[in-house]
Amino acid sequence: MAEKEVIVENLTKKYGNTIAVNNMSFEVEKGEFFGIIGPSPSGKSTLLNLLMGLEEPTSGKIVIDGQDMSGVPPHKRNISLMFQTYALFPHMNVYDNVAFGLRMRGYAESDIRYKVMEVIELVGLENLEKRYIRQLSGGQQQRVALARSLVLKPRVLLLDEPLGNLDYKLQKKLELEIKLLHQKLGITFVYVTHDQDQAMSLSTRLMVINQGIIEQIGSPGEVYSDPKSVFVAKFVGEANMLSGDIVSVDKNFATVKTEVGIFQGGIRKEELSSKKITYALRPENIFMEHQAEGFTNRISAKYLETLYKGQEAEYAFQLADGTEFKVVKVGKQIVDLKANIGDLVTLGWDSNSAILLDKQSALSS
Amino acid sequence: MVEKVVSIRNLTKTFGKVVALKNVSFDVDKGEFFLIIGPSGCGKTTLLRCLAGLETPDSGHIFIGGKNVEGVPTRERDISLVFQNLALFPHKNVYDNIAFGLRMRKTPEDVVRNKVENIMKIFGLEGIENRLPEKLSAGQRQRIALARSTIIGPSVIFFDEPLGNIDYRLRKKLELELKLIHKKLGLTFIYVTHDQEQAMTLATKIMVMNYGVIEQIGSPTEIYSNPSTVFVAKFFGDINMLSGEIASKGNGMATIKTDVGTFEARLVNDVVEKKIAYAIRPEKTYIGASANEFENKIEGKIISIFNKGSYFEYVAQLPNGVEFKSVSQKQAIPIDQAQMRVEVLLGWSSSDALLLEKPSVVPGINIDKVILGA
Repeated sequence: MAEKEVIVENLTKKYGNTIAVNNMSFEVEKGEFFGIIGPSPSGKSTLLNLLMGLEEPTSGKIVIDGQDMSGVPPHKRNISLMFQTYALFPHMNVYDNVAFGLRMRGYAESDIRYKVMEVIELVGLENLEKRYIRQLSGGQQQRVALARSLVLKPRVLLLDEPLGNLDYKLQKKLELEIKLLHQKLGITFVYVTHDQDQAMSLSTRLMVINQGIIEQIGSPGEVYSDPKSVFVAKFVGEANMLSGDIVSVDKNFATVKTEVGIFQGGIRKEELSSKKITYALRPENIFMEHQAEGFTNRISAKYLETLYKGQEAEYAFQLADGTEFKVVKVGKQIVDLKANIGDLVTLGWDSNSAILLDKQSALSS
Repeated sequence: MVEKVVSIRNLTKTFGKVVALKNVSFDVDKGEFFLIIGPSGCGKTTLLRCLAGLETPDSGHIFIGGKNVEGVPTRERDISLVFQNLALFPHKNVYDNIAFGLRMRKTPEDVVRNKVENIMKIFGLEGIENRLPEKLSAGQRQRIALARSTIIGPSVIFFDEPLGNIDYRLRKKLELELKLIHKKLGLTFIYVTHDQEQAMTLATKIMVMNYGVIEQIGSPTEIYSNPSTVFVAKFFGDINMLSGEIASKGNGMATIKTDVGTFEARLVNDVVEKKIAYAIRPEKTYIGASANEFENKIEGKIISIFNKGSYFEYVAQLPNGVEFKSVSQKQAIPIDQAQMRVEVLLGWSSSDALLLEKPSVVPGINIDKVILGA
């Protein structure tokens, strides 16, 4: 069995009447890239502060590497936070920024030199040691922030929206660097973000939180293809949704009546707790025109527009009741529709690609 | 023949020693969604300001609606401007916001009423004329800004990054709405942005700028699938690239020698240079078993797999250290193979390969510096 690096048990943090973290329990395994995502405010920052020891929980406990963290101050926890770059010291050079934590802990300068140079090489900042922070590009500043947190050799590295303010291209580049660094170091990364695309890309496991509670924990693939609530389905990726009623259940399929038609949906694992459900479809699982033929589930929709993005194309449709439906095709799946804008187009999908959701959120259960 | 709404001839603008626009010429057809894009400092904002009459060019001519606008002040040019954050008057209600331009032009109130009511109907804003903008949704505010701009009947509407600071999901919604409005009303839009995804999504025509010159003008598809320079290829989306030399040409095909192998490409445009960049888009690059079917193949080590939900992105490292990406809707390789750096095959069709002989229209520029700022 995999070893647990972090164990969180019944963790609650209240501020007056506000419950920022509401009875959360979860475990992070050693060496995982554990992503935490949620809208703001969802309790992400509070949870992070509790893990770091910057705040004390109202109740519950945190165990890191087998040790109960109750009352343990931040600098005695084997955990390091990668701050956003604005927390770098602008009047210090790269070397001194990275050495800062070690000096605070009273290390000898000779040890510091060795440790600092090792981590500077690790993040690819060689020959920039003497530069001041303002003389560096955005990407280089991120690397300094990373080096500063890694130099303390933490067991767990917490990353709080580290790529928040960078332009898109640079973000993509650094995502790959962070992922490779994680593989190389083999330590546990806990990555907090509101950006679902980043969380999907980087994490080995993902925890979706909402208003202080855990909505779902799973691999990015699981959370995406088997969301447990409408909230998760909407927050992670795009989803087309129809409200409906289950009219009958036959073995593995449910028949769902919606305003725009009757559709089949595969039932996964558990029983559905309610007759009223949300029938959800990921945009890439919908087929158009002749490709829609042969599917059990078909609907006619007004073609509004194609948004072409190079690598992928997004097709916008409107159903008879006004609901907007999106279809996405990637790479070689991109097709030129025969229909003109405003025409009715047949859309079709496999019953197994439908997601039946009986809960708005974990909050509602 | 298509009517030209805007024509620019040999426009140059300098600020001290900095050349912001260097002999720029282009035309915008009526009804076009013409999008100007480039990295910071490329001259796009200066160009828009010259068009709007907020900046006087050093030399060259601007024609709007067939009229030379030299010396014509902004308010007398046949244009409207939509700024970042839309710049609605927060203390004026929806009606007064939309009526503003007409009142500035001393239009009689009964005509104003008629026109405002009419345009509110077109933009689906009926029933909210007395509300203040801040009480409305982002979509409604965008429509108010557009209604305010269109009501004066301009030949062209200029947009300066109107969706700059808006959250991703909302922005996508507003983009679709903007595109539908453009199509419905048949107006001419000139839109400045640095966001390549927005450019691809919105434009009927894209003009890519770099250091004050035009790199390329074309439809989104042209720009993406037939970029004229390495700069343009890298600016729009991801692209795998190797430097190579043309070893032979014939029958519409070229053979290219690189340090990791010899590959083929279909010659779309003739190439003159011997030294070229050989490029393939990630979505045209196949990985795993399916790579076997292609003329061009290479082995690499898989270093990372990104599960994006609606698709997978694979990053492989070639023997020379270059990273190659592949994108596919279906999963081609198990996720854990990235951890083990397994050898994988990458393959692509010669007709999907691009040959780029110029780094940029600008001589001597460092591509990576411009693209990544690193």
